[in-house]
Amino acid sequence: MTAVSRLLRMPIPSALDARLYVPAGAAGTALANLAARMGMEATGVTLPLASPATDSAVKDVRTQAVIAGDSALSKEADAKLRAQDTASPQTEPNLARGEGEIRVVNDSFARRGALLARGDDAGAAAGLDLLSGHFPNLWEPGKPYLSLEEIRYDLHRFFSLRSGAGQAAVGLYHLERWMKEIGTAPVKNVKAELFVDLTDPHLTDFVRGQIQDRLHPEGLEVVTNSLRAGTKCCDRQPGVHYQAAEQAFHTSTPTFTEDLVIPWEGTRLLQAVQGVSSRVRRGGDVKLVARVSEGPEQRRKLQAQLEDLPKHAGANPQRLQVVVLSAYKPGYSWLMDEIAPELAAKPVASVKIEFAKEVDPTGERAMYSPARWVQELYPVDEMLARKLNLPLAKITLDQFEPSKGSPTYRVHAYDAGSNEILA
Amino acid sequence: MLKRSIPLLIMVCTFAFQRPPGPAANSAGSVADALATGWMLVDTNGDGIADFVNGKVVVPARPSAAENSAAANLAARLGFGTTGLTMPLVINAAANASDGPRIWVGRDTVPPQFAAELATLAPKLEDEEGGVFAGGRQSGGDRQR
Repeated sequence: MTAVSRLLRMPIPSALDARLYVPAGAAGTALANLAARMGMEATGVTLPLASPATDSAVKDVRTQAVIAGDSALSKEADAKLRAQDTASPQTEPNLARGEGEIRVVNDSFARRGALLARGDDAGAAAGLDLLSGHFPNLWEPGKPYLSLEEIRYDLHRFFSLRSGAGQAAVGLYHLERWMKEIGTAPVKNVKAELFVDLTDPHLTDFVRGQIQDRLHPEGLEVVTNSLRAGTKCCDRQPGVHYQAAEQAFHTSTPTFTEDLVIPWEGTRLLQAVQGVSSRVRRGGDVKLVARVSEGPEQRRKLQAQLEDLPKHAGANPQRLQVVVLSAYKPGYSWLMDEIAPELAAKPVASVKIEFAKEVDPTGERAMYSPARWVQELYPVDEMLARKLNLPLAKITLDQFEPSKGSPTYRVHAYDAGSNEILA
Repeated sequence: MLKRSIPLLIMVCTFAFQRPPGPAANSAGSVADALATGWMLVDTNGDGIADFVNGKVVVPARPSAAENSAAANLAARLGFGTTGLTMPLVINAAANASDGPRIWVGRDTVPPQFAAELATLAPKLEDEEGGVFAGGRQSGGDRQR
């Protein structure tokens, strides 16, 4: 039952679908505070929301009702409640003085439900004050504080055996039954194991005490433990430890361990080049282009080491070309690390960089931009202008339509007479 | 709703005995202003939307169903006019601390300071007639059968 209604697909209540039937006394004042809360929760309200309970007859109730006090309406709702809930008179004690409760009564007035505040005047007022001033939190209002929904979810986890407490309760239930079956017969060498999602540190002692008190066995071993990931993993991996205020991490023997060594890409590159160095012809040409995910300094070191390998294998040092580019931004790295040094000694007046238009032949890619390859170059124009001491306007970027086998980037350099000077 | 053997009387008090430490409340110049932002409804963060109720609705020490009902409708309207609310909004006259604007429901709730002012207006009501009066700085009233 909800007293505030919302339009279809609108998350904010836009009207109140209830009427308050207000008695005299403290309970009526508490209903007035509930009216304030209801008014605040909705973006629309039709007044009057409340009317004196003594003035209203059962036949007059045409919406959901909130009722308190001793009136014809509350008697009607109370009778419906007793008819619907036949168990509570046997299972629940009568409300004491000053004690109250709020009950939902389905189909209280025809098909309309009701909230019925029960108890004496002070008790009903207390129940209504809880409703208006605290719900849906247990006490302190606000999102940071414990909510009834959290309690409901905890109970759901308990009874559906998803929480350690619920699992332990079932385990203890079975233990109780088995011990009953054993009866008073003498037993020895009892071993009890109980595994739950997250175990309480005192569970072992509790289970031991239960068995000890009931069976008095000769020899008793009790094992309890947690099954939750991260509760038993090794000391070397603190990142995967399960952390919770009530659950301290403790080490345990890992189920299996495996060490993986992933060699550094630079080592693999050097080994790969060393492996093919024997095929270098004495005095021959060598051109080596490598791309690694390392910074400029590490790439320079790798380049020096890579140059040594063909030299020792007999390559002509004058005709040896080794370039180690960045694998993260290969186009930028090519222009800055390979092309720019080559142009530095030439009378460059302008540079034109051509980039291929990115094409999606499938037409299905969600992340797609025709300008992708020029975006990958950013901010190469500014960096080249600075390195070659050129005005920024002299570095131009042009797109070209790619064909099969065409490169992603092309670069042209011109002197002051517009002659191309980059071979 | 006002059809009672004892006339239902509501008095809107423009200021109480001392100012609260919280947001300053403007005067309710007339009964028509009582539910406008600035008096009991206050915009505390300057975004143009009332977010605080700076006062209470007071019912008698032994409120009748009619008085509680009237207070409930006032409270619903006040709640509707604000995005924030500190409970309780409706209090009993016996528990009333005078720390902000007040809407008094019932003649018996009105404190002595305003009783004399009301005494000149209330006798003008006929049987089964109720009234809403603004007290304090400026008096005035609307009445309804």
